[in-house]
Amino acid sequence: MQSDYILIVDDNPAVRETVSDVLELEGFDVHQASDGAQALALIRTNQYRLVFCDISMPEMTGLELLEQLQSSSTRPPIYMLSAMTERDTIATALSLGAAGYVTKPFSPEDLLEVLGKH
Amino acid sequence: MGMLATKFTFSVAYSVIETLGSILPALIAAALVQLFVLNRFPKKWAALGLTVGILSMHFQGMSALSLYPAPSYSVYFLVISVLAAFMGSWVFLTVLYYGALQSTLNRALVRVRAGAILAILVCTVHYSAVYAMNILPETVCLTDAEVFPEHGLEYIVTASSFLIVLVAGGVSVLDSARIKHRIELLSLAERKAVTLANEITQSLRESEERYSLVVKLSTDALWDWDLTTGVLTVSSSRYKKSNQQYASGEQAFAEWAYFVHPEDRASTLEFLRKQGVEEWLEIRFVDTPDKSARWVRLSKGYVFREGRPVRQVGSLKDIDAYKKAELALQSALKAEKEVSALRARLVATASHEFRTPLTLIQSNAGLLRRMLAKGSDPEKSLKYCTRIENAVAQLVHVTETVLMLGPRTNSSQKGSVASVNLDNLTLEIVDDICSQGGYASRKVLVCLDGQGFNVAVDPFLLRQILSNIIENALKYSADSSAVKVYLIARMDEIKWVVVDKGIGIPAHSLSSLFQPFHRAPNVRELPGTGLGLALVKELVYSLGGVVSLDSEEGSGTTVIVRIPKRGA
Repeated sequence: MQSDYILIVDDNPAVRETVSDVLELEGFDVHQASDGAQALALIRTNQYRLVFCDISMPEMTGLELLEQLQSSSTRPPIYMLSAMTERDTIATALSLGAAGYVTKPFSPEDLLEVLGKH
Repeated sequence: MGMLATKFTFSVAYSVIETLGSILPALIAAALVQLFVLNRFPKKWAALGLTVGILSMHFQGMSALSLYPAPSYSVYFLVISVLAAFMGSWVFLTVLYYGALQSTLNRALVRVRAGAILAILVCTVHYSAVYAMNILPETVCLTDAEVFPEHGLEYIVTASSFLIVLVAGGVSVLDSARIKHRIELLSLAERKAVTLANEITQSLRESEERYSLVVKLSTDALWDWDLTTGVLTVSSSRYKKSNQQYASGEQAFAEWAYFVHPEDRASTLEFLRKQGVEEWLEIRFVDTPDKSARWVRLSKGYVFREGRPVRQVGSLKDIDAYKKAELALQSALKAEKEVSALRARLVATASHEFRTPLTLIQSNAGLLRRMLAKGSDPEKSLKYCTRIENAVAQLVHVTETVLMLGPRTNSSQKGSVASVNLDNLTLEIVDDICSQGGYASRKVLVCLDGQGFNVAVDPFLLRQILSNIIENALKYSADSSAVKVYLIARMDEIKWVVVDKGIGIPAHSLSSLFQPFHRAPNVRELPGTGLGLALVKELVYSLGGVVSLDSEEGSGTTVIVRIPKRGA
């Protein structure tokens, strides 16, 4: 049975709150993490339908999180939400197993479109 | 003729065969002399041959008399005769040899001189040998008197002598042209050799003069190191060691190493010792009274013989001005590159920093729209609007700070300098901060020691600097914790010290704290752009001052701003 939980990982609390509000308005349950390390702990203990993850974060970056989860067979689809628009960064994220890459600024519709795929 | 002049008590006659046989050694001796004159026979052997020839001629002539009983000889006079023969031959040959190199006039005199010496030589040999003879009263000549009667011999010998003189004169005249030509050739060769030698000497003298002039006029030193003997000659006008000689290059280096910068000594020694890769080296010389280092360039080259280096020639050139200009240029280029890289990073990071508030604006606007479509919720609408307003404020702040960090024109750098009372200005800034909503309840202790003076400073820039530092101190410390601000005015500088007992900064973040957009990991949850301290640094620098920061995570932070004091 597919989980309705979505994890949002970002070190900026305003961004986390805003994304949570968008998703909750659509009826999803949302968990929040402020860095990659927290997210890794949550992913290992919970089952998520989808993860939205920032890249530039303290402790553990979004790319490091992808690396940690590369060998995991039960990892959820991870979409990067980042202000970093460089091609190299996007290519690295996708090669590490990211399901997609959404650049900031994004609208609620951008997030819902991603959700529609999963 | 000598023998004929000698009167014996008995009648004499000569054996024809032996008399003619005595001519043979004379001819051989003459042949040896000719060979010597033509440079084809060594002098000592020619002299010996002439000696033997003359002695043989004499004694064979005596033998032709066939005296009975055979005469005995005085050894003493015999020795004198032999010595006279050899020494006379030596002198004769010497005169003859040098005579060949003389001019035409001198050549005739030399011939006369040589002829006289030869005459004296032959006469001395003849008469000393005759004198050495002990002839008894009963001695008789056994040679057949019929063959060469006494008077017949006189005529023959006299005639022969005149014939010899005539032949010699004729040969001499005929030979003179050939000898003249030979002497002219020799003179020409000699003159050419002398001219060449003079030219070489002149050229050497000019080279020496040029070399001395170059050394004198230049500030350089030159060295010439004979690698086979090890002897080193150093010429220098600058170091007042004109043509100083050293037994070896190492000895010279031991003396000169005192002037070489300690860090350059090993490379200098290696450069001087090793042939090959590097043909020049730039080192520092410490030879001035104030011990300041001057840059010099060592250059060297080698003289080879049979593929082997035998001399090392080198120069030392003062390149201090050029090198310092080059280093200053490199330093300026490096600084410019760093500034360019920083600006590029600033633009890249700024674009990144703009995207986050734009995300909040776009997403919350979208939320508002979606919520209005589903039914109004005033509380949530207010929340979304507040987020949008905060994001706009953040955008404005980032924009203004980036503009301040960017390149400024001279006029804006100077800003508006005014006469400011530092005590009052500091107090105003603190009051303004504390009157803001967020920090109204905070305690800021101000200790003013501006001494009531007015100083010339840009109050706008100073307000930006102090506001940033004091707001940081308040933001990153507990509400109950007081922030202390000290103002200390000294003779030549003004110093502000802002102390808080807040969360502090991790040690690994201290080095990059003044870089734009850098935020320590322990403040990520708190709002901020990471531009504050970068701006502070830039503004303090524009006032000619410095900012320093000391912090320990968990204990607090102290920021010190120093700017030079200018009277109002």
